[in-house]
Amino acid sequence: MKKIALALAALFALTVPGSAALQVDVNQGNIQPLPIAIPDFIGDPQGANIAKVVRADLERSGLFKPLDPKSYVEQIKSINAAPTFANWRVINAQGLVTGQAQAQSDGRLRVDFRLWDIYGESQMLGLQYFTQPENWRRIAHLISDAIYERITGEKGYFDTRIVFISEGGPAKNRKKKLAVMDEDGANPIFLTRGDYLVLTPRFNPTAQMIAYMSYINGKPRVYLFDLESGRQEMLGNFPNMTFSPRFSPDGNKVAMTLENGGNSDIYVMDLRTRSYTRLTTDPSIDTSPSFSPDGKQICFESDRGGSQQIYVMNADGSNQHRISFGSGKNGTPVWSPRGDMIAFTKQGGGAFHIGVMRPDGSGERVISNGWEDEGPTWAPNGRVLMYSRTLQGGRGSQIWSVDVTGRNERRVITPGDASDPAWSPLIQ
Amino acid sequence: MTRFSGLLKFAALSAALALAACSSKPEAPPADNGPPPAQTDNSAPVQSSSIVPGSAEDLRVNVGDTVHFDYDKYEIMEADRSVLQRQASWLAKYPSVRVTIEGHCDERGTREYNLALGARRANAVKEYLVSLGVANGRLETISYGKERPMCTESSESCYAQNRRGVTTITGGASS
Amino acid sequence: MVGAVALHVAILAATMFAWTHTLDIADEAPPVVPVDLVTIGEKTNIRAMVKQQPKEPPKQEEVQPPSPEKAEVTPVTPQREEAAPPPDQMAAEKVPQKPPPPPQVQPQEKPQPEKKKESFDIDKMMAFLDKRAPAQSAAPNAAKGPKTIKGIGQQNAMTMDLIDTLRNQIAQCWSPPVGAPHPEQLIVQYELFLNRDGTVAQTPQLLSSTSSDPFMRAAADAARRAIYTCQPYRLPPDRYDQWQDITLNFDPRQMVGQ
Repeated sequence: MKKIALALAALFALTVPGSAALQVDVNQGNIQPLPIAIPDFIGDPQGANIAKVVRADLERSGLFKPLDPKSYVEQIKSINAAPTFANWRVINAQGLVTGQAQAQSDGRLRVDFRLWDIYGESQMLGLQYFTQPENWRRIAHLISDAIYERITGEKGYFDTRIVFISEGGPAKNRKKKLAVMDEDGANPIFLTRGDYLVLTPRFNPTAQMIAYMSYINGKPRVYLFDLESGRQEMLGNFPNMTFSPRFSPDGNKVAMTLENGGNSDIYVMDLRTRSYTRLTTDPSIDTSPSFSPDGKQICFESDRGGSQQIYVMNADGSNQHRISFGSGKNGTPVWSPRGDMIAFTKQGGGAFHIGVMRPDGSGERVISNGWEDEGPTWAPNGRVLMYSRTLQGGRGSQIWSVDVTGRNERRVITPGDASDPAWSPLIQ
Repeated sequence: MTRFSGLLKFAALSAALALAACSSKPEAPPADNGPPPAQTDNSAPVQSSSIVPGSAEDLRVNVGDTVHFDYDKYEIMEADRSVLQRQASWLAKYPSVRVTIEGHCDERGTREYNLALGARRANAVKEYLVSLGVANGRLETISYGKERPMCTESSESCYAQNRRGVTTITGGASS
Repeated sequence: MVGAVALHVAILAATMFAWTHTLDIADEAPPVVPVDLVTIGEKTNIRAMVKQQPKEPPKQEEVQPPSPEKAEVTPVTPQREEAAPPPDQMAAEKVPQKPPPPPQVQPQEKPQPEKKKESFDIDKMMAFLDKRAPAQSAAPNAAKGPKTIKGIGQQNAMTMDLIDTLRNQIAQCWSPPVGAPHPEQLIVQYELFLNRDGTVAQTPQLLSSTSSDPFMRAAADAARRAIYTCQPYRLPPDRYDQWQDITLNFDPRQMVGQ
């Protein structure tokens, strides 16, 4: 009977292509997070924690909707058997992650996982990791990254860290500490005690070094902080204030601002030779430099035209030209690691917002909704931004994140008040 | 009812205090005030008699250590010139005193831009004092951008207080 | 009568397909273990530092800064101390670390064997490619109407309402990757056969090129998920001959930047 039906169906199907297919252009969609089921990983008890972190990572991205484990119909007993896909379609899951954690005889933790396509009824991805048990969180982030990449086509950003300024104390005299944490807010570590003002930290491309501004000894200067050795050093020996440091994409240079007699100009310092080159000479404020990912250009802000606006120049200082012509003032440009966008702070109508535009200044869009949002930083995949949000009336500051499309704006978990986030590259 | 009137009294008292606080703020450049209230709090109440001539307090209370700026500007305002003239005379009277001029901004500027703007303001004060005969070497500048506000409300009157240049003694003062 | 028979055959066929399909998977999928070995490096100081905060279940305790006194200008020592415990492990770890991150990429290739249907798609796609591609790239955003390729122009008027109905239904289910670097290039075309009850009759055939571009693959997956999750399609059964075979052109250009 089955055979007959199949034959009939085949016959039927054969006749169909003869008739012309109906052509339908689908131009509009409905942007929704992907419903995905991530049961606790089986085996070692740590498996439940790993699944929990993966669920939280994917949920935070705004592109996934991890389904409530209580709704799951099927219990995963082995990760080496295909799930019963119909059981997952019942709860409207479109993806399923099954995993297993096992303690190895050598003391390490082994973690396997598979990503299943519920409608395609196939495995999309399967990976295995070994690590020291205490690194389970990192494994979870790596799994999140792998799932994210397989579903969206682009690299994830969960196995990254954030360097930021942790704030506390009275509004008139904030205690600011240099701090780092995992992208999900876990493992916060304070690198300074708050005895002096610190501002605007930024990672180098290996995430081993931080350039930031410190008022230690009453002299505001740019410092380098080596995370491996804990050593700090003043960058250069300049008589006046240095600020707004940012590494070149190869990590060999730092672009920053030197103030002299009230005038601020952009310089680039070569970290190997410690020689520096002046890039701007205008008597206006020139600051907030940020390299393009190919290292060939620098975007920066200047008020040379009468108000603070965004400019782009070649890395040697040539061909300086304005790119922001929208309303209000525009500052703190930061080039996307993808190269396709520059994020910036837009000031107008009494508020600050985060915006993005193409490097030629076109396609400007405002993507954040706070009252005073400033200082954007890009996730290494160029897809998500974080920034400082200062609350009205001295009620403190927070770190927020938003998708480059303007979706999924949400507060980033920090220990207390925080500002000036900078995203690390993917950790190697 | 008694509680209510008590509340009323409290409210009235608060309002009076607030008014008093406001009027003492150096909005305008009056002849002899302009002390940043927050900083004087820790010392004795203002009594010019107890102030040591040539001290930091002398500068703050009797001379005036603060000038103000318009939004996103760094020119010395007409009204503030008398303060700087008094500072210059005072510095001439106490030649061993060295000062640092702090430049501050309101919150309506981005962090790095405000560092640069604060530097401009501090430098404008410095240049004005130099033009009045104060030796260049006695004057240093530092910018705090928007990091050290005097007032934390998000209002124009508050912003105006925060856009300031403050002359602070770093050495050689009487104590 | 003929219609009724056809309907029954179609439904039967659909169930058969679904049935055998699941069987296939159940039979052959499990033993295939396309898992690759990826070793996580232990070397970076980053992780050494992570250990500095040993039992910090972060989220809850973030409210108060944990151990603010931790380190000042000399976090060297604390770090070093913390890093100290696992030095031998670290050394041991460096060995397997030689094959570093790259392996992560490879495993994605491995699951392919299971995707027999997709490889079948590719053949079919090749056949269609020359016909579709030009029309596709030439189509401006505004051109909403059906394309006049394949000489079906005369059908347009008759089928316009069907097209609108289908488009509206599937738009609810389609979540295109608009955040990709060049979403305007991620145009995906599927051929879809429907049963009379509006359910998907067989695995949709991908007509457009997938290439090896991960973004393109993600876009194709997203379109395929839309096709499946939107079924059954609500279309007039008496005009089944007009909608049993559908070419869906998923074009995210109008949604870019949304």
